[in-house]
Amino acid sequence: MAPISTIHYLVVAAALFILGVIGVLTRRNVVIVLMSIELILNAVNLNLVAFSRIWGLHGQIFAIFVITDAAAEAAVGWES
Amino acid sequence: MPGEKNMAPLATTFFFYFLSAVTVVSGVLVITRKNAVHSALALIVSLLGQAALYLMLYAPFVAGVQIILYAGGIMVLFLFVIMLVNIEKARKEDQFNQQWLVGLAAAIALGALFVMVYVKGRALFSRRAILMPEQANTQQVAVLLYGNYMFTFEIASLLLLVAIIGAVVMAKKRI
Repeated sequence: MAPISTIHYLVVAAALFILGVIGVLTRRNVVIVLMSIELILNAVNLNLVAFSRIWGLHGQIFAIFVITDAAAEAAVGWES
Repeated sequence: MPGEKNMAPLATTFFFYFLSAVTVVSGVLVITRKNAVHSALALIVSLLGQAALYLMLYAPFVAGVQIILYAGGIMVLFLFVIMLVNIEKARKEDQFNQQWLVGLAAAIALGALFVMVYVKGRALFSRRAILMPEQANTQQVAVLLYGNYMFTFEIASLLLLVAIIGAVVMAKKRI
């Protein structure tokens, strides 16, 4: 089998992103809409970490910032 | 020995496909389950699978943050909220709005976009992986975080402060 390269991870992240978008568009329950947003943010994180494998560590730093954002969004999103 | 160094680990391929299957299948479960608790449990599985994928990408610190913050922190918050709102009442309501067409169109458009980008940018994505010593990962992340990205780090802490205050203000109408 072909060795695992960056593009494999990017395809997984794209699948997760599309799943999140479908969830946001088709669910009515606000809890599950927020979970779908988490799926989208995680897809972005997977992209960033996969790229940090070939471009250096900066992607991992950005992934940590995205996780911070997700925590803040989850805390505030529930109240609205 | 050079022969040993060139030998790709055989288990990597299997683990990659296994973990991505776990991640994507639980992602599908998240958006299709009627019960919100089932969705939350599937999301936890998906996040853990993704943390394992981070480990495969030589990012152990991000994997640890993912497990502690997502699977430990945010998911507990999710489950609290699910328990606080009335489950029985929520289950009787319609779980899906009738927008399958819009969702399908968005999925097809996004999929076509991804395929186009990945086919066009194949040369960009097929660069060789750089050597990253796994033992020093946390140290290097810390050096970057408190060196190059110090200002961004401070802004992130400000964002968290705003989130705390915003949550309290929105939860209590009269302070």
